[in-house]
Amino acid sequence: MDFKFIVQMIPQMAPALENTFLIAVVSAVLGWILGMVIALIRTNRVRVLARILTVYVSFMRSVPLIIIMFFTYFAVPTLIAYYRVEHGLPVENIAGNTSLVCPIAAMTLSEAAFSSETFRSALSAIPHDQMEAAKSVGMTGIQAYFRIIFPQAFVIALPNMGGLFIGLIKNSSLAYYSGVVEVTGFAYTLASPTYQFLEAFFVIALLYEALSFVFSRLFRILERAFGRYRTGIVLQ
Amino acid sequence: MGNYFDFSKIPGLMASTMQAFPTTVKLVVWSLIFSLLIGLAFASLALSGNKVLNAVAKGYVAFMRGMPTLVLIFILYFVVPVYLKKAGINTDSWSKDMFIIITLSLSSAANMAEMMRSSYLAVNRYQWEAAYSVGMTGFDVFRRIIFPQAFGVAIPILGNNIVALFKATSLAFSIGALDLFGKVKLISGRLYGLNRAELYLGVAVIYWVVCVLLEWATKRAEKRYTRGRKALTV
Repeated sequence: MDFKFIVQMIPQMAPALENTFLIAVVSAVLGWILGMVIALIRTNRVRVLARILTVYVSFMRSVPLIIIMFFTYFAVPTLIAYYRVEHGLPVENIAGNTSLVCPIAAMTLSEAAFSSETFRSALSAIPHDQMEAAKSVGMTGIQAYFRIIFPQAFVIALPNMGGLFIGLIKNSSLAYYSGVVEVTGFAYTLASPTYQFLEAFFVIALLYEALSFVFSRLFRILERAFGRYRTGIVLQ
Repeated sequence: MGNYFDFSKIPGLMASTMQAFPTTVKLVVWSLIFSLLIGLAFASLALSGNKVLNAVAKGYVAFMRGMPTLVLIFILYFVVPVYLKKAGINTDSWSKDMFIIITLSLSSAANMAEMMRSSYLAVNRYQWEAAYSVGMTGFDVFRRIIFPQAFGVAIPILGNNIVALFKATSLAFSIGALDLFGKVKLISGRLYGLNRAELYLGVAVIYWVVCVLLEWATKRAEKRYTRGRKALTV
């Protein structure tokens, strides 16, 4: 193993690592917000929307992320370009977009579907009496959700959210195919000219392992910190 | 969408994509068999009661949990053959499908090991004692009492794992194997990128239909298998 290569590689990796983080964190935040909205619509059985979202969730959970990513990276810009040509608008800078937008869009859409299932089961774990009790003391529905239901559901969802986040970090490796230089893409490009795949992949494998270890620990700490809110639920 | 998204093109494109379906099935089936075998080995280590062996199994599962499948494919395809060659094993004649099967078997084995371990532990250990008390012996107890109950617990997890495995085969294109998505990339290249949206939507629908069918089959199998067993698992 060429340790010189590794020593030179590590400091250069910062921007790639930043991209990996940005992709994972932004799609986690956006995806979880969307997932929460989907979960609320589905648990409250909002008429047509709930049906549509059921199909959406089933579709997004079944289709491999890489296909969704290719769709946002290759197909969507093409469609936009067609549209713009038709309307006589300029089409430069549409294809080959190497910004983080495409992978984040794809991962947000898929994360929304996966996390909505987690949130839905967390919401359904809170007995409906709680909502009624909250309303009986004069809270509005929104107040009841934010003060009574969400804090308890959050504690239930937290362990799964940890798993989802680690999944996002792993899945961000696919952003390499959207022209984004994140950790995997960086390693691949750096190793290709001299065929030093061993060194490059050794480093990033360790990095991914370290990230998943750190974040699973972090979420366990969070679980423990919020665990005290749990007592109320178990008693029912 | 106007005339640049042509729904009538989708069925034809899906038909061409489906030519690669046997390859995907082959990848799933072989990876499933090997991951079950490797998973069984690690589950036995985890349940052996030996601290060192247990740590080995746990370490393997944790390692695979943290490793992106794409990175594992790259490692096994680009790195490992170099060292195998040094050890006297030439991998030049190995097909790309084979590397994908190896990768998916190794990564899925972690899930399979966890599945087996947790379903084994889900069966009440008094069942062992009850079986011993009526005169059954070691492996007989496992085969006739423990395994049938553990299997019922494992069916839904197994279904999930198979779906995950099926979805993971979509990464085979990364080293140029011709599974469903590899075929899509090939077609896309032949069409010079035309009708990409229709092509991707078509393959997405294929994946969707197969996953829904797999989920349905799992549910049915579970219902069938656990019928009348409820009393046992309590």
